[in-house]
Amino acid sequence: MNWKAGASLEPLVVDPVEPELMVPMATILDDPNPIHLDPEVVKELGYGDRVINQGPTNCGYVMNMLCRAVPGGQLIRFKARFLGNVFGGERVVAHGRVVTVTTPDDEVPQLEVDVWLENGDGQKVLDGTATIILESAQA
Amino acid sequence: MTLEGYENLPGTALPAGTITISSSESTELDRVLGSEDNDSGRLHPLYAFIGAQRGIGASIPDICSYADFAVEDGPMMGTLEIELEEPMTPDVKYHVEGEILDLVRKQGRTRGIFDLLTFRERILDETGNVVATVTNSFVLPRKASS
Repeated sequence: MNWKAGASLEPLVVDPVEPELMVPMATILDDPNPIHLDPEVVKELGYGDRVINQGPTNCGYVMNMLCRAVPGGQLIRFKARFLGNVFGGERVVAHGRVVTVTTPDDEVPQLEVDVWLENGDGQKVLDGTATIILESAQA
Repeated sequence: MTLEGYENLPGTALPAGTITISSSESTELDRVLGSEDNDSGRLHPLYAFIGAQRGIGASIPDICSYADFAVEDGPMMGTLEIELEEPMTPDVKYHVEGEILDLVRKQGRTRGIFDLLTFRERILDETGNVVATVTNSFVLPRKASS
C-alpha cells in the first residue's frame, strides 16, 4: 500500500452497540460505574434513558478500524478526546484519515492519522490521533 | 490552575501493583470489541489502558476519591492517551506505577460545572523497561452547590 497524506482509511461500522456487551466489559475494566449497566441511573443523572457504552470500548472500535485498514502496522500512539456518549443500541462508525507519512531517521516509516467515531446522527462522539509504524514494504 | 484545596494533589503517587492478562481475558475483549480476527498472539492495544487501570493498586472509586468524588455520581472519561513502546503479551506479568497529575475545575456548556482529574500510569516489564504509558483524564460532574 502506497500511503499518502489525505488518504481515507476503510471505515468500521458497529451496528448496533450491544448493551449486553457492556456487562462483560465492566468486568474486563473492573469498572462498576452504573451508567454502563443501569438505564435508571442514566435517567437519574440526566444523561438519557439508555445505558452508556464504556469510553474505552469506543476507543477499541477505532483501534480495530486502524488494525484492519493498516494490516501488519503497529499502533504506537493513540490519543482520544471523548466528545459525547454512545448509547446502547446506537450505530457508530469509526473513521481515519492519513495526515502525514514520515520516515524518522534510521527508523521505519510511520503514519500519523486523524481518527474519529461518529454516531448514527453523524455527530463526532470521539476524536483523536494515532501513530502507526509500518513495515518498510507497506510505506 | 489546580483546584483550591487540592494544591498538594499533583505528584501524589498511586499505589503500585501488577497485572497479568490471561489468554482467555484477551479472547473475551476481542469478543466484546468484535475483533475476533485478532490472531496476532498479542494483546489488543486497548489492553495497555485496561492493564494500567487494573494493575495500578487503586480502583476507579479509589482514584475518584482523591478528588473526593463518589463513583456513584457517574465519572466519565475526558481524554485518553496511550504510548506503546512494544506490544503487550498474554500471560506475562507486568508492573504498574503512576501518579496524579492535576485536578482542575471547568465550566462546560452542556456539562455544567465539573472537575477534570488527570493521572498517568506506566506499565513496566520484569526488567523495569516501560512498555506503555497511559494518561487519563476523568470528568467528574459536580452539583452546583459542591
